[in-house]
Amino acid sequence: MKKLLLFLCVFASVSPMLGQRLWLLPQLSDVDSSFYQSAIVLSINADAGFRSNSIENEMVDKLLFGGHIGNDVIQRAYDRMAPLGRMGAQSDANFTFQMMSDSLFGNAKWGWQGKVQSRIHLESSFNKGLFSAVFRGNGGEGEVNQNVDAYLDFMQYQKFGVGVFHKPSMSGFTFSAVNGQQFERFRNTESSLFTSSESDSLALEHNIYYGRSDTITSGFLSGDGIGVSFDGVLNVPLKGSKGLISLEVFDLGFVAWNESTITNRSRDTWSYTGFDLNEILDENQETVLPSYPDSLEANAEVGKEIRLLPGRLEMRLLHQINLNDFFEIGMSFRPVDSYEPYFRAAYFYHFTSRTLVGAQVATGGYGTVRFGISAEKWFGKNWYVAVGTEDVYGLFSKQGLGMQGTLRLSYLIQRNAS
Amino acid sequence: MLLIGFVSCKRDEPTSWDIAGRAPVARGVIDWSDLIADSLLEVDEAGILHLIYEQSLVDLGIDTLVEIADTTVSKQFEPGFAGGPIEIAQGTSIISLDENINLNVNSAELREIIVKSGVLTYKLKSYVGGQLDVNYSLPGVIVDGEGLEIDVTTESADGIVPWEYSNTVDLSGASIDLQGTNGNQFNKVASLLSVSAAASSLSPIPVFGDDSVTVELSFQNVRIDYARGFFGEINGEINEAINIEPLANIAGGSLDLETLSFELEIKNYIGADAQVTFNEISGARNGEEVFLNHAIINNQINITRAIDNDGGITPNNYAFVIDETNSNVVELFELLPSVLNVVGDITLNPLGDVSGGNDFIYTAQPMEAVFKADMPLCLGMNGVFFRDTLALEATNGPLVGEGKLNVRALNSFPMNAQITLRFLDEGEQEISVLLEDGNVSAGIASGGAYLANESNFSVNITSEVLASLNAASKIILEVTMNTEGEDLVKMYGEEKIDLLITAEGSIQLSYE
Repeated sequence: MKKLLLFLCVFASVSPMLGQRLWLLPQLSDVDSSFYQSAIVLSINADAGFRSNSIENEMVDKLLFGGHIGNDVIQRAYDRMAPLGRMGAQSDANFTFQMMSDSLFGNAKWGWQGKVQSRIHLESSFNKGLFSAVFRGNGGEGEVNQNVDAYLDFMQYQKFGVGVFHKPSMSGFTFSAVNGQQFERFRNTESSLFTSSESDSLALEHNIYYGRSDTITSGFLSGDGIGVSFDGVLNVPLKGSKGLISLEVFDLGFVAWNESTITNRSRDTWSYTGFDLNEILDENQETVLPSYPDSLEANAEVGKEIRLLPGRLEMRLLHQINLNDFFEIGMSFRPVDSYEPYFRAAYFYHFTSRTLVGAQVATGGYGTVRFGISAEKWFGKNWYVAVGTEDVYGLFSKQGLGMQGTLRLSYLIQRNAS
Repeated sequence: MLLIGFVSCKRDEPTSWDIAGRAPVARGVIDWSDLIADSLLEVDEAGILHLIYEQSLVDLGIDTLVEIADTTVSKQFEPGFAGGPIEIAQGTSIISLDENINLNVNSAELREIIVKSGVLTYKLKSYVGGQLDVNYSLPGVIVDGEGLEIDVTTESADGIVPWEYSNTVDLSGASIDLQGTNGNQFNKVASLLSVSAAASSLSPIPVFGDDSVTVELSFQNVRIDYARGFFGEINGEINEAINIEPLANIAGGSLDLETLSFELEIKNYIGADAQVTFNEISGARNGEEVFLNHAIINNQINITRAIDNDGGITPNNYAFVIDETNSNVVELFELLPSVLNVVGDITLNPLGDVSGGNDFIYTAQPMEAVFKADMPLCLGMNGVFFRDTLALEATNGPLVGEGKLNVRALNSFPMNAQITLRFLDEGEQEISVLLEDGNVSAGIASGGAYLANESNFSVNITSEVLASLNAASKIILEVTMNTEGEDLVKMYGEEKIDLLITAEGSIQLSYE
């Protein structure tokens, strides 16, 4: 079952960075550009996967599905962190439509488009010391001082958007109403776990923020928050139709979470020096095992909170090499510690006018260097399919640092023959 | 959604991994106050610590002499003629008489009591076919300063179904004269009944010869605060086994003591003479027993009655000091007895009713015997063996790993100690020994105190030990203590053990 889910996870996903190139450079070679003549383009997209700069697929698999994580796996993850461990995962399912035949306010080059999207986003960064404390322990000689900073952000939301697009360049934008379903955010900064040289005391210095949305209501479209979002893409053709420069913005917006949102803050030092033998002597037949506090004391507040969506800015350049091939370089940014600037270089080749294949190398984001492949193809007059992955190794190796793939399925409703 | 399905997929097995950790396990400073209650410890002028323990040996059971069992009486009163009906005019007397009610008192002959708690429940039944004025009074039962009086106008009976009326009176604090209607009897409550045709009746009432008025009285749960009378000449036995709490956790071994004072005091707060004979006083532990040799044993002690000064009691006390000069009491306490056995006889009023029925008792202050042991802690210890049982709290899951517990003890008690820890299962059966004879060295004498001596030892925690821990429900702590050499050592009250237990090793963490 889990292998099947992994398979679905990888191949039922789509990355905006990998899809629709076959649509963007119709000027190349004799590429099929008949989609311009369709009436409506309907597309279903899904995206899910994870990536890390240090945590191997085997470890993720065992954290999720059980099993003993070997010391070698933990040690390799630890060695890769320099000094921050990063991890991201997302699931994104959306349906879009683009009105190819209609004109917008009398301008035939513009059309309406719309989108319904559901997205889960999770990202985390954690200090090497935290990973060590959790997965390797605090053993060793002398004093041990482990920096245990960590950040985790989880958000789940749905978008309902309408917008316009420029047909020749496929540029456009969409404004969306956002339904915030759930969020949780944890951040621990300036924190350390101190173990004394004699092992007679543990001290956890922490500065914790933890917030979460309303826990009374939950589930799809629960409406714990509302917001707005902007998505846009600007494709600028290069001179001589040699390619294009693309600038894309995703999920630029926010959700105002409702008045039942809970935030907890705790800045303190929690110390543990062992259980008190005197208590046992005072109260016969009481427990002999140490008991730990269930939770750290925190100042809790309940009230509205505004949170930015996990937006992303992307730029890319597509440039023709020969008649049948082109290269692409791209980058993306997110202003969080867990996401490093992402860079990508790819080469694409048209096998036929309706088939495009490519290979790419990427680095950054939540992970490290990885190599991917992709393919896009038109089937008949109505169907378009794009598949690919940016990490071939990760698909097949337990030691890979993530899994990712793309799938985009589009259906073209043709114009009425009359 | 795929990710949710991904995560929520049924897990085949727990996630687990191994860590190398170290952490404090336990710490504490164990001093005299942890071993013996502060209230039992005193330091004398010479700076020597004393264990002073006072406990009631026996209350001699005399407060039970004046118990009153639940008493229920039912009186039926008839008009004194046959036939009828006779029309009785309003206000005309039908019945008027006085009677005694006998209380169920044990062998005592009580003249007066004050009730601590209890109730009187009464019920009136009238079989007369008209209204009656009924007055039933208990003039000797004083509740809230007034004699108890039941004043009721009855309604007409319905054929053979009587008219009934009932109520309950709280007797707490009531005084009850038990000298009856003529004032020189005992255990009797005087009652007066007056029944007449109701003055408020609209017409004369028809009374038949077989009509009656019934009064039911029930004294329930009467507990006595004070009693006066003759308690009787009573012979009783004393057979008490008194646990000596400060020594309860000592499972074996013996002491060498230099001196010990054991004071036995009999306090008589009862207004009755008594004779007490202690046939045997002994200390016992683990089947061993030492019998006290002292002049008090098998010699009759005549105890004179206390004097009641209108509630202020002047008791008569008899104190006997038993020490190493006149007895073997040191030998008795060197055994570290867990139980003190007292066997003897007691006779109350051996000369009969010499007080003319004026014995008294305030039940809150009966006759008692108390002992006070004063043990200067200048002693030697010979394998004194403490044992304590500690419950283990169930862990969330089985512990897997191996490592060691490191124990550091800074001991300023002037005795060596060997510590053993054992795991027991739910059936109290030993599973394994965690630690055997971990040595803690004695403190070092320095003037009028002892310097701490540091001892360190480790306990290997193997996978077998952790398996035992997973299966254990209790852990037994055993400490055997010995002083060095023949000389007795003095305790000054500042002695303590500073204990630190830390753990290091690898352990498997897991979650389902």
